Amino acid sequence: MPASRFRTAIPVALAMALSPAAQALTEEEILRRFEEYERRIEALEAELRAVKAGKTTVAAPVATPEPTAQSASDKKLARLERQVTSMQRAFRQEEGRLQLNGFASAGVATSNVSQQLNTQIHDDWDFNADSVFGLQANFRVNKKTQFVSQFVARGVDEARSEDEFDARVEWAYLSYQHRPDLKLRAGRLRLPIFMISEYQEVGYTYPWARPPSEVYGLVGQFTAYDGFDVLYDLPLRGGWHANLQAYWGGRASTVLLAGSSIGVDLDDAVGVNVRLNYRDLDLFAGYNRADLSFSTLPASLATAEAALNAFAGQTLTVRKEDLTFKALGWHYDDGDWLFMGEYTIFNIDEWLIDTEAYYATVGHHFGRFLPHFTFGKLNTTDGSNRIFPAPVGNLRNAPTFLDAEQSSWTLGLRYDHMPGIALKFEWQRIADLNGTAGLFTAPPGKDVDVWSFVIDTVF
Amino acid sequence: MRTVLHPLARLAFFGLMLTSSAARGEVLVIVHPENQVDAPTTQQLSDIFLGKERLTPDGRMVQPVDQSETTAAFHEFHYKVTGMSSSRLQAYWAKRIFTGRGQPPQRVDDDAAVLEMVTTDPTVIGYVSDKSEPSARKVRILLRIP
Repeated sequence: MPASRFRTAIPVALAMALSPAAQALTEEEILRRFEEYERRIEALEAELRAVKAGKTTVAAPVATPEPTAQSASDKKLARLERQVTSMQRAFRQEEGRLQLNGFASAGVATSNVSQQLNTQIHDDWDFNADSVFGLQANFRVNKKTQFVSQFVARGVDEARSEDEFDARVEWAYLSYQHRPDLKLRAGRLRLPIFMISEYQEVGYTYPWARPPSEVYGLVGQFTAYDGFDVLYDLPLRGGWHANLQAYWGGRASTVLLAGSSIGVDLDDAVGVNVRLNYRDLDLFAGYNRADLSFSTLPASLATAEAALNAFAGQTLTVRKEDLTFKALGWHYDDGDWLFMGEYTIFNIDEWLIDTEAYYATVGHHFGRFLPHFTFGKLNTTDGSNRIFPAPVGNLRNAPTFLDAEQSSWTLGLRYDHMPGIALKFEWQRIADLNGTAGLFTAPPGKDVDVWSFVIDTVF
Repeated sequence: MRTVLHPLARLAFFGLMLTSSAARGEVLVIVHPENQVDAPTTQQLSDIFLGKERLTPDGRMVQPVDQSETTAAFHEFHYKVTGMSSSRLQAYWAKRIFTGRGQPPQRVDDDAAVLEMVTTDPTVIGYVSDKSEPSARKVRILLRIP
């Protein structure tokens, strides 16, 4: 067991150990406490009224009230008032101790080719690609400490494509608000790689049916890690706000690369990002790095590896790689216009693919309607590292092994039916594949149209 | 075909009707009479109600209390101060809730409930419609937003 894995196991175990405490507070217990508080507040208020009444009846007939008695009753009055106030505050705090929130999306999508986009959407009606259900519980342990857990069930679990709606714990952590501007969290957290990574499944928060595939298709599969993070609000003036986030951790997971399922371990994942806000404008910059090791290699990569070793006459392995993600993002929404976009760079050692990907979205609010347009582009940037002879070169029928290129134009309409419920309709044209598979399981060989309809809710 | 509106949808619809048809009145931003906090600008007020600021400009801890979506005051306040519709507000808070970056302010039923909270807790900052005419003895009016 690597030392780092052991270290990250500690906060998770801690967080897990605390969860029974959160569950132990049953509804009955909460109700009982409320009743207790209510009873005590009523008793105090009655006492307060009695003292007030006593004070007036005593004070009225006596022309020169005895000063000591007067001040004693005043003191008692003040003390009782303080007690009532603090009881009411305690009551309110108790009331807000356990917060439950959730999100759900139900979607249907189809395209005009049999090759699957994001290993899911193809020329049949697909109800799983954009369907997800999440439930989050925030339990306040004390004034500064919180336990938060979030379960997410995906229609398609990208990492384990045969399991549908298998609930997974994406967040389970203890958070400690050290100062109003400094928060420490430990446990299972979401990898904050790109601008919307931490809430990429909460469809209600963005205009599209799903986050742009060019940027989120591959990276979006790295979801949670076990470790720590620090959130710090930088003091800025003039209406600007900045939040700095730094994290460290790792986790074993499964991702789909080029249509095959691969077991990958992220170790010593570290990252730092800054979010700047000024009124309706948000800016994001992030840098992340990790050691990536493959616990299982798909047949195609294993073959490639063997062939490469034969070709190069030496041992080339893809067992442990250094990978980095860099991202810049912006988001502006003033209630009329929406502008957002991200530019991202992904690098990995040796002959595995490096990519450059971006998208830009523009939209305009017309009451509850938000028509929007998005342009997205992905391309591999290190093709020259992957010019291999047959059989490697032919494995994916691409100009060079593992090359991926695609552009897409998306026209969408979001309709905010009521607060908490949004309906989305989208048409997407994917082109410029240049013979590569792009984000499909195999090269479609032509331009692709994708239609999607999604209902998103938060509650 | 007869359409049956969900009760919540009806409430939301009612809320929208209130803002569009009722004459826009003043919104009063109030605190406990003992709270000597400086009056914030609408931008600072927006930051407080959106959880971007936990302190007032003069460094005091404040606890914002919002109103329910069904009140006219809610729509008045958010139209004038945060500039957000109920839907955008909900999306804004969804981002913060599901990333563990914050919970929205507590929402209470009406002006009376806000008044009660402000009069009993010196850290609370709330808003009420000008129809509620709070007495200066019970609350301190920080700001009148026309």
